[in-house]
Amino acid sequence: MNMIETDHLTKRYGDFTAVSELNLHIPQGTVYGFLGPNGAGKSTAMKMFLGLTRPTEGGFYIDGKIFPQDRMEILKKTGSFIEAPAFYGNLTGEENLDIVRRLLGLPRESVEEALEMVGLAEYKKRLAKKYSLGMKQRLGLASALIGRPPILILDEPTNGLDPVGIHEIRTMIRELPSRYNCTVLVSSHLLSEIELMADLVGILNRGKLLFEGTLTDLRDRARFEGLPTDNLEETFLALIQEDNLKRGMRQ
Amino acid sequence: MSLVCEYKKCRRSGLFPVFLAGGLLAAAVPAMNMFFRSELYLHRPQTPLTILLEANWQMMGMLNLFLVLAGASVLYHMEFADRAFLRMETLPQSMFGMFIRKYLVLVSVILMAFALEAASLAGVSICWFGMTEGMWNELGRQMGCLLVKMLPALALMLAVSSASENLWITLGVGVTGIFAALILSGAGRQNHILQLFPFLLPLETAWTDGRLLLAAGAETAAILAAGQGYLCIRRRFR
Ligand SMILES: Nc1ncnc2c1ncn2[C@@H]1O[C@H](COP(=O)(O)OP(=O)(O)OP(=O)(O)O)[C@@H](O)[C@H]1O
Ligand SMILES: [Mg+2]
Repeated sequence: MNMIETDHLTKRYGDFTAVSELNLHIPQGTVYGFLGPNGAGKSTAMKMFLGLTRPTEGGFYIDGKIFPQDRMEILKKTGSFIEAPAFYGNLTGEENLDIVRRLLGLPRESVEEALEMVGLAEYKKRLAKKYSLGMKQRLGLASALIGRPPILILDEPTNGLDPVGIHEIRTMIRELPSRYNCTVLVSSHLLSEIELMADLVGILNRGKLLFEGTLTDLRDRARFEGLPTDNLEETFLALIQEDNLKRGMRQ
Repeated sequence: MSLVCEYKKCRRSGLFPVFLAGGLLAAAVPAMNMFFRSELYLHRPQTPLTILLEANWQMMGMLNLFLVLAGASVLYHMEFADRAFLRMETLPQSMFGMFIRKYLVLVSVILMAFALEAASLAGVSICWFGMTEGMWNELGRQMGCLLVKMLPALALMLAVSSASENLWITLGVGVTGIFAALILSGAGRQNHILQLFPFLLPLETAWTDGRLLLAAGAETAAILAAGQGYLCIRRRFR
């Protein structure tokens, strides 16, 4: 069963199309890597899932719930982290999570659990505005993970983390479906990163979905089209470049 | 439960200290005034409270309005400063509900300032005029009226603050509104429509007409409803 499915999802800002006719299929219990260069429309698509922007055309459903009618139902089940950490600077890490916990109606222990998951327990009494960049990032992730929601939408979760932190977070994301039976949509610029976490990838360029499938499918397709295959990152770059060229010719 | 959240968010934001300090400052106004120039007031024919309010409320009311401006700014600035608002929007709660809860927080802190001011007025009245009959009644009625007349300004300032991520716009609107009220205060005595200008309403103690209070209530409801409408429209166009 697909946890998230979109149907010709489109977002236009004026005459600029940020997301164009997107058809994503994200099965339950998988980590789905959402890949694309800057400005591809990854964040825009994720924002639409959360109701932060309205689709211009098309629609989607999440866990059988339809937007916009069931927006509240969707939000109850979804933990999210969009673009950059969002928190109250005047509160400590712990107090920040406590606000989210109360609004979600979760038990008291969930704060501590979320702090442990992202390795922030030691700094929970420090004001969030005094956190380092990576600590803020971890706080943002804790706020998404709190209460183990069945769906997670994580936009560039490893931004600003040190190599050890990147490894920790990747490993954690990788293990989420098996540990908590949740579905994760995670975006990144780097195929090498997605490769380590995701079961499925969707490659987006300038609003259009170029590819959707497993990494094996991606290799097969690259071989078929005569693109470089020895390094997946190069495959990704070649795919993007080819698409850019094609569109350049049309203009 | 969610209202508790709204109070918890205000920790270390300066909201409570500012209202405490501002309330004390406003409370000091009548005391200072009587201390330095009591001879001006002691032999007037009105009740002591009327004399005190006539002499001091313009100043006290202005201080209250600045407090409301500061409070409204703080309540939404902390949402926008580190993007907490974005996280709030992705939680299953209504943004209008949050607005109303913030409104209640703002009403409760202005109530705290009013309590300090009322205590000061009572103290000054007893100290200089002696205990008079019906003083507590009159004080209660006046402060109640003033609170009702303060409600539209609270709603308006909070609505402006919620709509502008830029703190300077909120402050600019507020300061302009307060000075406009000072300029209009003369004209407002004749014109019933002008009386309803949210920043002017809480400055005049003589206006205790029941109809005016009802109008203030209706105005508050209208401003809150406009806030709700704005949220709907904004969601539609993003
Ligand atoms: N509110 C907006 N108004 C106009 N254009 C917008 C708006 N938001 C996003 N865009 C445009 O939509 C396109 C996609 O933006 P988006 O943030 O989704 O990219 P992204 O894939 O997340 O990129 P990145 O990897 O840099 O985060 C960009 O060209 C951006 O300029
Ligand atoms: Mg992005």
